[in-house]
Amino acid sequence: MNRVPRTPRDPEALLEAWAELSARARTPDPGVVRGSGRRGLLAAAATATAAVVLIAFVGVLLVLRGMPGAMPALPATPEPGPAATSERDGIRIELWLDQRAVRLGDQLIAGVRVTNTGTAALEREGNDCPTGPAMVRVLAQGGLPGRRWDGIAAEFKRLVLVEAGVVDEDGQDVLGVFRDVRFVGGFIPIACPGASFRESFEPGDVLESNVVWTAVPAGGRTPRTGPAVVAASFSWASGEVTAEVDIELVAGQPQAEKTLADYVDAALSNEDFRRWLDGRPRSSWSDTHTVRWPTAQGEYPPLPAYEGISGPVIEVGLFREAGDAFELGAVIVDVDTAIPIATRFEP
Amino acid sequence: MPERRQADPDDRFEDEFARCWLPVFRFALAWTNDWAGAEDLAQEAFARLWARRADVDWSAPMLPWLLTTTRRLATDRFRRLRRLTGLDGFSGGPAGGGSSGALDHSAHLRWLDVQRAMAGLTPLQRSALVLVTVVGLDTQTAGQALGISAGAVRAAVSRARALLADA
Repeated sequence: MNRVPRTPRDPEALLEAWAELSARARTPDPGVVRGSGRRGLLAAAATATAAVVLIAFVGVLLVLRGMPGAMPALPATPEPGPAATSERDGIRIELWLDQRAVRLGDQLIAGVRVTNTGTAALEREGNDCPTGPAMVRVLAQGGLPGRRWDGIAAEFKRLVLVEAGVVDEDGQDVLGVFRDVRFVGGFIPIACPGASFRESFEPGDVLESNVVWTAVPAGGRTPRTGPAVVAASFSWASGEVTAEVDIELVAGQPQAEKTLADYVDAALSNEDFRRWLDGRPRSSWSDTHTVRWPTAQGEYPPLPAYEGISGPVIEVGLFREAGDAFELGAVIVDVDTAIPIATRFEP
Repeated sequence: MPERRQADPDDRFEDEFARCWLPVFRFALAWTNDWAGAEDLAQEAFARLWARRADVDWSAPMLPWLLTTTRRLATDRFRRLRRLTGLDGFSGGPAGGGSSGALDHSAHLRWLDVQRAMAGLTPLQRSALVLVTVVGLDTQTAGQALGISAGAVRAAVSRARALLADA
C-alpha cells in the first residue's frame, strides 16, 4: 500500500509543499467570472446571499408559525393551461399559480416548467439555492419604499436595496422570492455562492419545479396590498425569458416587521453618517453592508462595536476604498423601532 | 483605483486574469486556509474587477488592487457569516478539512497536513509568509495588500517561520 508521505515540519519544506499544492489550483474560465450580463457572478452572489438571508428569516418565521409538516404541492386541478407562457430563442417557460388573489400571510404556490423547444443545446448556470431552476419573484411598482432622499443619499439607498434584492435593477419592488417547496418548513443552511454549477440544457429537456411564497415580511421585504406581478425567469449564458402573471395582494395578517428601507432611512437620518458618506466620491464605494445582530440562530456574538446594545439591531453601512485601505461607515439601527442607536466608522 | 477609460477592457481583463489568478488564489488560500473558500474569494475579486473594467486604468498593475480587494472580501465575508450564522464562514481552520476539488486523493491528504500546520498561524502571518516567500512580493507591496507596514510584514514573516519551526 502506498503511504502518503507526511509533510515535513521544516518551514522551508512546508512552504515548498504549500506552493506546489496551491499551484495545482484550477484556473477557472474567465467567462465564469464575467458571467453574462446582469446574471453574472456578482448578481448571482448577491442573489444567493439574499437567498441565504431569506432562508433564515423565512425559515424562522415558518417554524415560529408552526407550519404543517406536509409539503405543499402544485394544485391538483390547476387552470386548464398555464397562467402565462413566454418563449425566446427556443426556450419556453410556463407558469401556473394556485390563486390570483393572495391574502397577506397566506401561501402562494406556483408551478414552473421550462422546455428547450429549439434545436440547440444551451449552457445554463445553476446553483443549489432553494429557488428552483427558474427564479420566481413577486414584483410591484412603487419606487423606492420609505422616505425619499436626494443626491448621494438617494443613490446609497437604492444601492443597498438593489444589492439586498429588495428592489430590482429596473426599480421595481421585490415583495418576495419563491422557494422550492422541498425547502419549506425549516432552516436550510446552504452556502449558495459555493454551490453553483454549469450544465447543458439540451433540446427537448424539461425542467419543472414547484415553488412557494408566503406573503409575510422576510429578508427585508414586506409585501403590501395592491396589484403585483409574479415573474418567473429562466436565464442562460446569453439570454433570459420571463413569464408574468398579474395578482392582487389583499389584506390579511398584520405586518409588524420594519422593512430594510426603514432601516436605510434611519441610517441616512444620522448626520454623522451623512457627513461620512459625503466625505469621499461615489467612485470610492465598494459595497454595502447590512447585517443583523443577533444572528439568524438567535445568538449574540460578542462584538466590541455592540457593547451596551441589547439588540436586536441591524447594521446598515458601506465599505469604500481609501487609498490602499478600506473604510467602513455604518449605523446600528434598532430593529423594532428603526431608530438609529449607534454609529461605527472604521478605521 | 485610478479611473481612466481605455479601449479593449475585455481583453485586458483576460490578460490580468491569466496573470494574476494564481497569486490571488494563493493569497486567499493563505488568508482563509480553506481551499473552496479561497476559490470563491478569488473569483469574487475578479468579478469586481470585471464590473469596473470600463473605469480601470489598465496601465497600472492590477495585482495590488486584487489582493487588497480579496483581503477585504475575506474579512467582510467572515464577519458577515459569523454574525448571520454564528459560524466562522470557512471550512478550514484548526480542525482542518474542507474541499480541495482540484487535488487528487493523495495530494488532498498532503494538503490536509499542510493546512493543519498552517492553522497554527494567524491569517496575517500566513498571508505575509505566502506573499513574500511563495508569491514573491517585496515587503512593501505585501504590506500594501495586507494593510500593514513593510516592517510589520517582515515581523510577521519572521514570527510565522518561528511558529512553524516550533510546531
